[in-house]
Amino acid sequence: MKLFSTILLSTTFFVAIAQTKPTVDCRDISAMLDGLGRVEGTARWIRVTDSLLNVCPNSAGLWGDKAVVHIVRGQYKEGFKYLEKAVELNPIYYLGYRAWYRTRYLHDYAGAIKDLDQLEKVAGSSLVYVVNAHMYLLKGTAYKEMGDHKKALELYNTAIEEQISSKGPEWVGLYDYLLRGTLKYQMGDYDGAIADFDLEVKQYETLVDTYYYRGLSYAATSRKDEARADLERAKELMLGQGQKRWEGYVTLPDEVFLTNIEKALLRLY
Amino acid sequence: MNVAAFAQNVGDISFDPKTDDPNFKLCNPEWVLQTYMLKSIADETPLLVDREIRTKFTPRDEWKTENGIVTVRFVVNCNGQADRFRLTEMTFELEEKKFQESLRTHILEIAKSIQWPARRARQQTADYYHYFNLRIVDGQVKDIIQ
Repeated sequence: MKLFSTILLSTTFFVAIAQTKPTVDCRDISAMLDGLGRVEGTARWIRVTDSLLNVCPNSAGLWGDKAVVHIVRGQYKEGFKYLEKAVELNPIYYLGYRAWYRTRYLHDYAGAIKDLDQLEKVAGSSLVYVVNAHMYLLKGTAYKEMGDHKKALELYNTAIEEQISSKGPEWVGLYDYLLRGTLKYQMGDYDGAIADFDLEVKQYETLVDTYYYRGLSYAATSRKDEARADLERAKELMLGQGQKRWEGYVTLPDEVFLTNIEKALLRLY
Repeated sequence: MNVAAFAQNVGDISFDPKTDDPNFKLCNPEWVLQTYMLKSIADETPLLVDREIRTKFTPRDEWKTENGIVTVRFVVNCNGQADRFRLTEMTFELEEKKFQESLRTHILEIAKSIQWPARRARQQTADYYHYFNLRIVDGQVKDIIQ
């Protein structure tokens, strides 16, 4: 009887332990890693991520984080392999991300378009945001970089119109008019470009890029005084309190540098 | 200082006596940053690098069948000296591959000839890792990603 009681008590104890063992919600795991105050890419961060992946091997967020850390440090083979895993686990989120990384870090525009086509299919709509921009903005840029300006413009137009018609004009992205204006400038539609830059200035008054490209558009239509005023403004903003479209990681298509502005000003005089 | 002991973060490059300059010194081997942590909007290094590579790269007939991506990674110390150059070569599908030795050497020579800027962090100059990529199409530099 005593033996039976001991077995019963022990069994009850272990069942109780099993029942109180904390469970991990893998949906929150990437956010938990954020909570550790991470310094991405450090040896400690990698150790923690790998341990968490042992517990939650199907966490797309963890694979995605690991991918980004490798890609931004130039470890492309590993990074894109991890990103593929994230895409498998959460295509609706990571297909767009992968397209974005393909354009920025590989200049693989055809691959990005393929990912975005797949994303549209999976999402059942084109009104999907990829890194804060309508997916057609990214897709349009991919076509532009491949030299198909007409297709790029078509996509930019749809992106802007779709955001206005379905959500309202305040939903047009921070750089959408700038991107379309720059494309129109490159296509030789200077008046169309200026109209877009006017809209961009209204929503982002201190953006260097808009004044630079509007200055070039004015110069191309022989409106020298307006060109000079805009280019001077671009220079002032660049050297002062302005901002430019910029990422610390890689150079963007059509990114503006102070040297570009100064050369454009010299051409005017 | 056993520098290799610190080669543990993603992308760290440890000293290789077969290829690296033994006189090259990091100012703070335990605190080597990444370029993206140190860049500012005023940084014009991409323009310099683009110009240097496009003027110095001299294509050869024997490279006409070469296609793929080359990543050049290295470390720049707080005095603006660069060393520990590493090349990674891939197909456009990111499969491993090897370019011809003469092409690899040419790319390395160009990378080494560039005056990489000394960068600052926390009011002092800092050591940092840097990289750039070349898309090689038919033996020519089609694109520079940096």
